Amino acid sequence: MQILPGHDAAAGSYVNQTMIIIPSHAKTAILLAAGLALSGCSPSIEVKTTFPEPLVDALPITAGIYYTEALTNYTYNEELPMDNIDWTFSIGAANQLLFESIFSETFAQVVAVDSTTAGGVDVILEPAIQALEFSLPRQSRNNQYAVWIRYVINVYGPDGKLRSTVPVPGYGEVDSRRLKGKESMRAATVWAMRDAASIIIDSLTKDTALRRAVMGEQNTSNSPPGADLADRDPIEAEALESSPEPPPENPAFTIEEFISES
Amino acid sequence: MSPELSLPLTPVRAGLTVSLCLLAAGCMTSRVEGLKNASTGIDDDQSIVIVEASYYTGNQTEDKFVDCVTREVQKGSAKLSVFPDQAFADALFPWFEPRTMPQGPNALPELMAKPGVAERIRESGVRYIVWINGSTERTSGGGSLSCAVGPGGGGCYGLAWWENDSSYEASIWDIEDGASAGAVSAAVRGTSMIPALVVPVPLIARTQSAACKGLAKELRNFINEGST
Repeated sequence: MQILPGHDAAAGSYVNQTMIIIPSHAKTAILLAAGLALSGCSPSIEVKTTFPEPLVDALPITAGIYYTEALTNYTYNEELPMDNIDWTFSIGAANQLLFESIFSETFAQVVAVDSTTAGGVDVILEPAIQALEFSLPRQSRNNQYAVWIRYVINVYGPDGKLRSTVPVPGYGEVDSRRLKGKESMRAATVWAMRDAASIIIDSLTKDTALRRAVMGEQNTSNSPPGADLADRDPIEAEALESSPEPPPENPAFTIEEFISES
Repeated sequence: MSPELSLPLTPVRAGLTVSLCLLAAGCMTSRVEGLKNASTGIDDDQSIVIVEASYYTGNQTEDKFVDCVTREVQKGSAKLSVFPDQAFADALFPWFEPRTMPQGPNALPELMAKPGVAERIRESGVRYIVWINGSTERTSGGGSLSCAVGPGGGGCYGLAWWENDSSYEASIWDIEDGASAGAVSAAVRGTSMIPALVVPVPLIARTQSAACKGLAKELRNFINEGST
């Protein structure tokens, strides 16, 4: 970097003006630094946690679990309107840990399978994520960071025939005054995953569509995926209805709230 | 000899001190009550768990209030042993999650009947579940306060005030009896103000902190009442 004296033609004399010349490699470095600084404004939520062992009696069957790459590499990215901040959720590895934790206790035997057809099992379960949504305190106008995850469990017979598709909503919220920003969102994500787990385990202990499909007690092979949504039983209906609504897509907020939140 | 303000009368000095303390703490009124349904008591090897009521019931108790009550009940001569709420939820997973946790004492038998739950609770030594409900709300406010800064300095002028209402209830469930033992409640209302004549002087009524301490003290007495 060079600092050169300037010439004031109007005054006809040299003055102490300075002109800063920045070499091109320094410009690149500054741009890179600015880029890195801006990327710090794009929170990345990576869930790395284990889940507690559920207290439940195992169903006396062998279940094959099909973990798709879409589930185990699941990443969700959303740029919030108006503030140009990207939120990225990476919960693929945690998804697998969650379902391993659930199914290892809910079935007498569990094997991982690599397709929806497999021998030596009574049922094949394919967990998947349909959607993830989140809200910040300034959007919901309270002090909560909230996360909604909508899982589905596809239940197949060993012959690969789809028996049922059961939706499982998960919701979690965390008080922003306990943890700050990103950490609150991460904790809310874990609560949403635990919430979904509690619904799955509860459904498997009662006479529900999920349990009937898993036990092969109800043949819904002619129904398209999601057909039993209209005929879901109370526990699932209650779970779906009691989940707080996601926030509006473009929530209105004042610049003061934005500043105070930031 | 330097000038010195002397207050020869002890009552005057004491009155001034009390007035200053009251002023500095803001103005608060509080009411702490208990309602007992059954006799209580706790052994040395038993503990309580303090949890905030589920957000599925619309409850919005501040986490820091629950933390405060948890801290306060473990103080003093009648202190209680507190089992960590997160460890309790993990031990009973998935039956003590916000969605699945019992919503009333009549749901306790159903919880205890779940496989392994009674054993886990017995292992934890938890005798009472204390459910915290309530929140602190700003009920009113007013006045105006303006500040300015210039080359020669700055200052503020005016008066701003607001009123907070902290209202909380702790419901106590006796796991041994499988029923509600009763409830204690704390309601604290306080007015905070910031008078400013060049320098602003904040006089804050800490209603939430007062409610926490009142509730925790009452909770200690409530549970220890039948202990030998």
